[in-house]
Amino acid sequence: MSDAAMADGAAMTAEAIAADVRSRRRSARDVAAAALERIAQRDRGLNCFTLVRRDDALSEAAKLDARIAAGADPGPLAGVPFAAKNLFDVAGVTTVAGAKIEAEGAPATRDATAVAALRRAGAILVGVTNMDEYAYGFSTENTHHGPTRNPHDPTRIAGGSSGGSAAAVAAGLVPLSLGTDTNGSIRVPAALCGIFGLKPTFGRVSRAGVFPLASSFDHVGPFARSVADLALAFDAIQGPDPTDQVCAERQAEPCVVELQRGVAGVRIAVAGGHFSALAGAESLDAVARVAAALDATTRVTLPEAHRARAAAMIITAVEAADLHLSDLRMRAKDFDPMTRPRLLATALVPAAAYAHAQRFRAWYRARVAEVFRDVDVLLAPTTPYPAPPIGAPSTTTVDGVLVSTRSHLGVFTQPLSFIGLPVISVPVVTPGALPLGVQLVAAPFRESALFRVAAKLEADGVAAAPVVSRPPD
Amino acid sequence: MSTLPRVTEADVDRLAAQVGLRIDPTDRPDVAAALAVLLGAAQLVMEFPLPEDVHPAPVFRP
Repeated sequence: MSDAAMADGAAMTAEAIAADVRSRRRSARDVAAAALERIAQRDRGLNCFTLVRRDDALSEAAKLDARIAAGADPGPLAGVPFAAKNLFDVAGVTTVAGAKIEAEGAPATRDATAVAALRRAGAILVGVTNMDEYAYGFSTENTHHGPTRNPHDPTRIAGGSSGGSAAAVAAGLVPLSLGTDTNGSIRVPAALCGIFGLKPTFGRVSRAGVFPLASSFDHVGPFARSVADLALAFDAIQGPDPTDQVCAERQAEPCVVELQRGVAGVRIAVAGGHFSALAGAESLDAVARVAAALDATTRVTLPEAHRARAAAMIITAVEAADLHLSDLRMRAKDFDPMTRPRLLATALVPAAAYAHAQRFRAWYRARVAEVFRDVDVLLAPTTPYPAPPIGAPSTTTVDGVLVSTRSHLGVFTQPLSFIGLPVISVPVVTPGALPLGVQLVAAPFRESALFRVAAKLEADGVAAAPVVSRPPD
Repeated sequence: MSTLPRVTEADVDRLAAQVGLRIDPTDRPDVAAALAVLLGAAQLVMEFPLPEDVHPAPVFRP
C-alpha cells in the first residue's frame, strides 16, 4: 500500500471509516470530501462514475455530523462513502441503466430499497456508476458513456455489467458499492478488478427500485475490499421487503458475527467437470491455491452445469426481449451498438426453448440440492481468464476451443445464479499478474458459511484486495 | 462455437417479421451471429429429456 493511498484515505476500509466517524475522530464531511477529491483526480482516467453527487453528498455528510454531535446513533456505516450502479433508483437521479433511451427519463422520486438501507445505516452516496447497457454484458464497454477501465491495467476491461462499481472500489475511490448480478455481473467484475463481491441468495436482498434485466435471475449485492466490509454492507441490505414481490420473507441473518467463527466443521469441496474445463491455467491455479489453503481435497460435479448455462442464456434472452421489444421495434438505433444486435436476437428465440429451460431449471435445482447434502461450500473459478483488453476481438481460443471473448467470462457464474445460489467471489492476486477470482458457493440462504470461509482466506493472506494506487491520470 | 447452428440474414429477416421487428441491414450479420449462439443454447437445452412431472410453474402455499 502506497503512502499516498494511506494519506488520502483510499485504502481505508468502511469499518475503519465508520469507527472514526462514530467516535468523531474524523467528520463524515471530511471523509466525503476526500472521496470526492479522489474521484475528481482519478475518475477521468477510469470512467467509473456516470454522475457524481458532489454537493448532495457533502450536504448529507454534514447533516450526519450534526446528528452525531447531537448524540444520535449514526448507524454501522456512519460516513462511509459508497457508489451504486446506475441501475438503482436514487431520488433525484435518472436511472440511466447505461442506455441513451433511459437518459431521457425523469429522475427517480425515491431510492431503491438497497440504496435506502445503506443510507439508513449512515453511508453517504457519492455517485452512480457505469455499466453495460441494460446490464446485458460482461465488459462495461459502454458506447454512450465510454468504457470503464480496469484499475490494475487501464487498457483492460473492468468486467461487467457492474464494472463501474467494481473499479471504483478497486481503485480506492470508495470502500463500498452496490451492483447487480443476473448471470455474473457482480462476480465477473469483482474477479477482474481483484475485490470481493457477493451475489446473495435469490430473494435475500430486495430488488425494489432496480431496473430489471431478467426477473428470474436478477440479484442485488455489494462490492468491498475486505470481508468485514462486505458483511457490513450485506447485513445492512438483507431481509424482507414487502415492496419487492420476489424478496423472501425469511428474516435477516447477520453475517458480521460469523467472521470470527473459523471454518471448523465446514465441508468444502472443489467443483470439477464443467468448472475445470475451458479455462486458462491461471484460473484453475487460483482455485487450487484456495483449495490447498482450506485443505479441500474432495471434488464434486454439478450435473449438466454446461446445460444450466445454456438454459440461463435462453431465459435471460427471452425475459430481456419482453422488456425491450417495444423500444427495439420503435427505436433500435438508439441502443448501444455493443448491445443492440444481441438484444435484437433475444426477440427471435423459440418459445418452447424458454419453457423447457424453466423446467430444466427445476430439475437442475433438485440435483444440485443433493450435492449440498454432503458439502457446505463449493470452490469454482469465477472467470476463465483475467481481464481482456478493451476492444478485444469478439472471439478467443481457450484450450484449443474458439469461444466468445466476452460471453465466455460468464461460463462459470451462470450455472450458479441460474438457481439462485449465494456466491462470494474472493480475489486471488499474484504479484505482477492480473487479479482473478474464486467463487465460494453455498446452498440457498447459507451466506454465513461463505463469510466464514472468506474470512479465513483473508486472514491467511490467500485472498486480498489491496487498493490499486496509481498516479492521477 | 464450432457446432453452432447456421443462421442466415434471410433467417433473421423472416423471424424478425414474425415479431414485428425490422432489422437494419447493417445489423443483420451481427444479429445472425448472436442468434446462432442463442439457438445453439436452445438446442442444448431442448435435447435434454425431462420427466413429465418436472414443472416450471411456481408453487403456491398458504
